[in-house]
Amino acid sequence: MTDYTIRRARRDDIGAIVRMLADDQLGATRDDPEDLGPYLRAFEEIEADPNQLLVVVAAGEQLVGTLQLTIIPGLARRGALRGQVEAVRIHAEHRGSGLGADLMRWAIDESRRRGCALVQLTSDTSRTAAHRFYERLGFEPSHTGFKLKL
Amino acid sequence: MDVIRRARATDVEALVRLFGAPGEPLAAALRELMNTPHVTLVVAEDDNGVAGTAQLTVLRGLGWEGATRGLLEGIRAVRRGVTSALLTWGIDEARRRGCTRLHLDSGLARADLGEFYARFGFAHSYQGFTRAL
Repeated sequence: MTDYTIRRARRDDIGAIVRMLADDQLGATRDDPEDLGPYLRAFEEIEADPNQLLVVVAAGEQLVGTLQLTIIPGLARRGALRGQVEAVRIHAEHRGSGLGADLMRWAIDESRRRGCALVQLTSDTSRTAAHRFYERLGFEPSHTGFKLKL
Repeated sequence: MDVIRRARATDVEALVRLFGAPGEPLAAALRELMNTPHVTLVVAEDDNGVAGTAQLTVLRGLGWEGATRGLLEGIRAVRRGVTSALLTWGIDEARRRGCTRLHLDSGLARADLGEFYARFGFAHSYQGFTRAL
């Protein structure tokens, strides 16, 4: 097992993050690491928002995982804060090593530390292996998600 | 529906009625929502006062080429027509703010809502998971 650290993403991590996003059954059709311009602009916005956290898993010089955590207030559930987990990716060569579970546990702990009452995530209905993974981590299928393309 | 406007601190009693929740935690959450830049909380008003509420959260992510997307949630309304007005508001506002996608969640058991949302163009596309802390 390689030693690794979970830390906030930096500007010079963006290329490696986008390559991980694109190396995926769904991401391959919608992300392109050739032009980093739009990704860097998105990163600047995320970086400026104290409620949004883009993190990477670093094993030495190599980035092997990423995840985005957003803290969202709301009125439901007695006004509970929620942690929303998105864009979870583990580098292809590091899958099956328990790294994804460690990264998710980090997001759960960070949400708790920030006062959230729950952690939520959504997963495309086609990602059945991911659904089993989230259930093993204590997540329950709790709502049906709808999407409108604008 | 007469008007959809941003929620104010004085709306707390109406929101307590809509959510059926105790006032104190809701008042604190309302203050937090009013101070969170990427969140817009609105109420719908008719002749009898506040008749509904919705929350639009606009987020940027790296995926989809750094796309901006909206999350429309916390919809509570005294009748279906108010829900329709809030959905229309959410769609227009998300578009105005540059979102390329708008997400909407509903409870698993609410199959009837799926048909209702479909009329606004929403398609069932993902599964939502939660874990209590």
